[in-house]
Amino acid sequence: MKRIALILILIVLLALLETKGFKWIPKQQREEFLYFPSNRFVKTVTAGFDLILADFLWIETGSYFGKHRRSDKLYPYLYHMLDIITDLDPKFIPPYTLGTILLATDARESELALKFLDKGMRDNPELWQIPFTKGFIYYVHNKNPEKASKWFLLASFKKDAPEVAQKFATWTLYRSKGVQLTLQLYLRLYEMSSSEIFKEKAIKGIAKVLLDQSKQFKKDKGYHAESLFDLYKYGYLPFMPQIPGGRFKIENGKVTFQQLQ
Amino acid sequence: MNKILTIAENTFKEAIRDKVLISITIMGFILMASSKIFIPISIGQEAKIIKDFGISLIEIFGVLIVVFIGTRIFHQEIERKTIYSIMSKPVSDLEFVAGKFLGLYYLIVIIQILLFAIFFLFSKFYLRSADIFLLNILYFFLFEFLLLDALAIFLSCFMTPLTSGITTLLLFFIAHVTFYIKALPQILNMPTLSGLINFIYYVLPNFSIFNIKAMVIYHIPLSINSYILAFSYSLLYSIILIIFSSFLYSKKEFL
Repeated sequence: MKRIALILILIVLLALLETKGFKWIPKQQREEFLYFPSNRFVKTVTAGFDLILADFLWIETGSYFGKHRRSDKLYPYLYHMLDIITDLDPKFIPPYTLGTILLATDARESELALKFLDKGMRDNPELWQIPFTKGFIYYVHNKNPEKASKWFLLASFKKDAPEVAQKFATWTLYRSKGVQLTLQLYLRLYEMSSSEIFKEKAIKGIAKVLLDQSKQFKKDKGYHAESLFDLYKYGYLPFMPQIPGGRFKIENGKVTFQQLQ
Repeated sequence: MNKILTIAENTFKEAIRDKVLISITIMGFILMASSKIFIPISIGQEAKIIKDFGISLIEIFGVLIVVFIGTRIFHQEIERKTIYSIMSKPVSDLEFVAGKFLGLYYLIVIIQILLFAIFFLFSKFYLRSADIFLLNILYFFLFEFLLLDALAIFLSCFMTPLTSGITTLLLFFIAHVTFYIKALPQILNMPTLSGLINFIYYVLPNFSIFNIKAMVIYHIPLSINSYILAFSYSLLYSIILIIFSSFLYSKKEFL
C-alpha cells in the first residue's frame, strides 16, 4: 500500500514537473538550443552516422523555418543550422541552394549567405549550382549585376553546367539590370526546383516584377493595364512569363497567380 | 578446420533461435517500412533521406546484433552448462573461439544480406528505383562487422555480458573518431603525450576506413585501395584478436 502511494506521489510530481517545470526554461532555449550544439561537438559524436544526422537536421531546419515564417519571421539560427548540416555532409547541396536563398531573402542575412556559399564552393568546387546561387543572390537580392556576372560566368564554366548559366553570365555582363533577366531567373528557378517553397518564391518573384511594371505603366499612361498582354504590347515586358499549371493575371493594377485545374 | 566449422554451425543454429535476433530483425523491417514518413517532410530530398536512413539502419542493426548476441556467446555456454561437454571433447581453445567467432559472423552476413534486400525492396517501392551502387556499402559493412565480431568475442572472454556489450558499443564509436585521438597532443598542447597517444591510436581499431557511406550515396567512385585496405585490415586485426581471445579463454575457469 505504501509503495502504491509512493508511486502515485511520484507520478503526480512528474506530471507537475512536465506541465509547469518545463516552462521555467526559456522557450527558445528549450526548443532550439538543445538541437543545435556546436559544430565540433556534433562532428565528434556522430561516429560514422553523419549523413543520417544531417538529414534529420535538414528536416528540423525545414520545420524551424516554417514555424518562424508563420510567427515572428525571425530566423536567428538558420545559418548555424545550415552550417552544421554541411559540416556533417559537405556534399549535401540543398542547404547551399535553397538554404542560402532563404537566408538572404527571409532572414535578410545576405552577407552570411554569401560567406556560406564560399564554404560550399570550397567543399564542392566541381558543382555549378553553388556559384550560380551566389550570382543569383548578388543579382536579385544585392542588386549587384557586376558581381553576379562573375559568379554566373564561373558557374557556366563548371562541368555539367546548363546552357542557362552561360546565358545569365552573358546577360549580366551586357546589362547592368533589367526586367528580362529577372523574369528569366525566376522562371529558371521555378523549372529547376523540386521544392514547393522554391517554386512559390519564384512565382512571387515574377509577380513582383509584373507589379512593378504595372505600376510604371499606370504612371506613364494614367490608367491601369487591362491585361498582361498590354504590358507586353507597350514594351513594359520583354515576353509574357508563363508557368506550367498556372497563369498570371492583372486586374486593376493587382497581380495574381491562378493555378489551373 | 572441420571442428571449427561444426562449432560455427552450432553457434549459428543457437543464435538464429535467439529472441533478441528475431526482435532486432522485425524492428529493422518496421523501421525501414516507416521511412515513407520522410517523403512529405524531406523538402525535395526524399531519395537521399530514404537511402541514408536505410543504410544507417542496416549498420545500427548489425552493431546491435554483435552487441546483444556476440557478447553473450560464451556466457550462454556456461549458463546452459554445455561448455562442459565441449571441454570433454578434443577441441582446442583456438578452435572453439574461432568456431564461435565464425558462427556469429555467418549470422551477421545473413542478416546484413536480408536487411539489404528489404532496403532495396522498400527503395523500389517508395522511390520507384533501387540504387545498385549502394551494394558497395555491403562489402565494407561485412568487413566492419568481421572486426566488430572479433572485438566482441575478445571482450567477452574476460568481461561479463553487460560490460563487454557496453565496451563493444563504446569502442565502435571511438573507433570511428580515432583521428581526434591522434590530434589530442596538439589540441591539449602537450607534446610529451604524443608517444602514449600514438600508441593508443594504433592499438585501437580504426573504423573510419569502412565509413564510405558519403562516397557511395553521392556515387563517387571508390579507389581499389579502399577495398583492399578494408579487407586486409579487418582480416588481420580479427585474426590477432581471435588468437588473443583463445589465450584469454584458456585461462578462464569454469568450475
